Amino acid sequence: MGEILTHLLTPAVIIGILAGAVRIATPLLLAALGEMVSENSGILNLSIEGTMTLGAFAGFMAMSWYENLWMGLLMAVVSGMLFSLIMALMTVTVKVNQVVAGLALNILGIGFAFFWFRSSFQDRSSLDVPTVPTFDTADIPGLSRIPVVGEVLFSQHWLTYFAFLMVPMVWILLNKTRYGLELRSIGHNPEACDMRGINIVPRQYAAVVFGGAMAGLGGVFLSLASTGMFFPDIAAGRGWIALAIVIFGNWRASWILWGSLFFGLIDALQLSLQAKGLSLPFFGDDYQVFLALPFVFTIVALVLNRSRSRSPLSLAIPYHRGER
Amino acid sequence: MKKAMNHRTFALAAAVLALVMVAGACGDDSSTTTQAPATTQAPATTQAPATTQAPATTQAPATTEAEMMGPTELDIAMILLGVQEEPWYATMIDSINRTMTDRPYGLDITLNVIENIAYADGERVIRDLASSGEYEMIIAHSTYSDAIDAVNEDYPDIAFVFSGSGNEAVGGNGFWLDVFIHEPAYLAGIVAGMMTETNQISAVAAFPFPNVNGPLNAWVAGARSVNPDIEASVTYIESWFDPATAKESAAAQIAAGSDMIYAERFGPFEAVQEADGVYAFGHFSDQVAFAPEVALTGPVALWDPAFNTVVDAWWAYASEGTPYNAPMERIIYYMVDGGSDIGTLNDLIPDDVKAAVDDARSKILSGELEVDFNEGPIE
Repeated sequence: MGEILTHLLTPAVIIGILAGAVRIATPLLLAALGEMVSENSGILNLSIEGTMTLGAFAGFMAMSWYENLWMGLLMAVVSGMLFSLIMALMTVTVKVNQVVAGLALNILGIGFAFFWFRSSFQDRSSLDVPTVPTFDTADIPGLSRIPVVGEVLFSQHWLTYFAFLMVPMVWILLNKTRYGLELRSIGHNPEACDMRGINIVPRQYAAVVFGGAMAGLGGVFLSLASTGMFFPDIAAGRGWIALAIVIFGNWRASWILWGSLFFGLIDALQLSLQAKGLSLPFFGDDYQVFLALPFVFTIVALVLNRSRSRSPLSLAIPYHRGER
Repeated sequence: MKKAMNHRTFALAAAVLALVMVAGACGDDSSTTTQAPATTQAPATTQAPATTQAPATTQAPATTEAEMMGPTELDIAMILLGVQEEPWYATMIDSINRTMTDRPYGLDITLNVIENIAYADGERVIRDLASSGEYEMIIAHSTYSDAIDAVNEDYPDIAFVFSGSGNEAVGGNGFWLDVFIHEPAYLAGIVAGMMTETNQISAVAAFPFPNVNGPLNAWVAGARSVNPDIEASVTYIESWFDPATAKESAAAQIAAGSDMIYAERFGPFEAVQEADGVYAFGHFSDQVAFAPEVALTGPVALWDPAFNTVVDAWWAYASEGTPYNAPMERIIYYMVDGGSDIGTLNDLIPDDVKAAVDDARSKILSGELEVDFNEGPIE
């Protein structure tokens, strides 16, 4: 225990853990914020994992074509939007079961990305792993020189700043605008909104497509900012963690920020302890306990919030006009 | 009217879903051929004349040489648990490609690689491939021994191969292959031990598996052989492919003071490139070219002798009828057997270090130096 404290109180280690937590949280925050907007309109989009994979791929592909990182970013957003348009079409217009549609789209997204990846990178040795250049971190002038805080918060990737900026933006959209109020109302009671003359379909489409764009950005962070690689399992379960964070954050933007950072911090902490080869109290070398912790906390949060849950009442229930 | 509408929407939805699932399945199992010749046939096609699996009958009239005995073609199907770029698979494909060029027994060898086959699907896919009659050899390149045990006796003409730790021997026509890279990992460790400034070295690895821990322990042992003050640690990312987490693991190790990072997975190189005075080591395939400014060297697996053993056994069976007789144990190839070697030594490595590596290498090859294969935790 003493060894662990000594390690954790080393300045370089503290900065490493905190900066790592912010980096790890970035794709989760992007995807979870988008999913939260989608769920607030009543559409449960389970295809985040597939959308992230597709976004990672589209960015990687565009980068290898145009050798322009911003083009990669744009293509990731476009692919995420187009892909979630299928989700919106199936759930809003055709009104199929949202869980089934989301799961099916995951398979499609990952399968399609892999298929295209293979057909694009043929005629080369398997030993030759395709890679592309990645975004450099962008130091914010002045702010990045602040000790500790500067290195942790202001020496990150553009996408990280964007993700953090989106937290207040999404909050304002949902809580301070008429549009946001209508969106949340649709999530709770689409029939009442319909009677009030609020046009449900375009709002739900917009929410789902926004979620897709954000998931695409979360994915492209992995293939163009974190590493310059693409493989079909690059998302590595982050889409599912994002779904858990929405629950953990009780469908509120600020809590989703804390949830993402918390998940990132736990991961960064266990990586740092493993890096020094330290044994945990009670668990010894079983670091896997850290991988389970975020989900344990999600379940705890779910239980604690049961009376205060802000889960949209009509989440995942297709709305048919004139039927009960 | 309303009712009809609902039925229509439902039918449409069902159609969309079905389409989505078919498309998804196609993408996931997408098979690729690594050889230029048009071997794109789907494995499941049952051809009428394919009733006899004896390869000798396939092209008998085509050969004009009367002296030609035995088969002229060896068609191989290979299933992988992951994607072919993963070094475990890539090195095997590379070895098969070399054998293809060498044309042992004048054989035309073709290879059809099928990726992303889950353990649970192994038996079904292997049975499909075997029953297609298209293949004389099926390589299930990972822990598929249960699947092969269930299939191999039904197809006595086919040579089956599986590989790596965690399998059980099958015998007969089921060959269990492995290559051990712990000896060259020890050599890479000598480089780490001599070049480290902080005396702290770390590895980023997938899972605490025998085939993962063996080389890591040897790498640390190699470093300690030249520098007894070495402190070592390993981070398991609990995934075979998650470069973002692997990169974060390496960044955490660098923050904790390590300046030599062994990348058992993809990802750590990128963290090492962003740091100063830190170097990296590849694993299983030669990865120095991926990051020549930081990657020093690494152990490299060579499956050639292992694969050629099975080609010989198949040839003996197919041309002379010698029964398959795979040993009831893992066939392991060490550095002295040509199963592994140290990869490219980066020019960043000082000459005295290179000399120490060469010296230890010849001692291992001569048997003077024995490197333990220690599957236990890294201390």
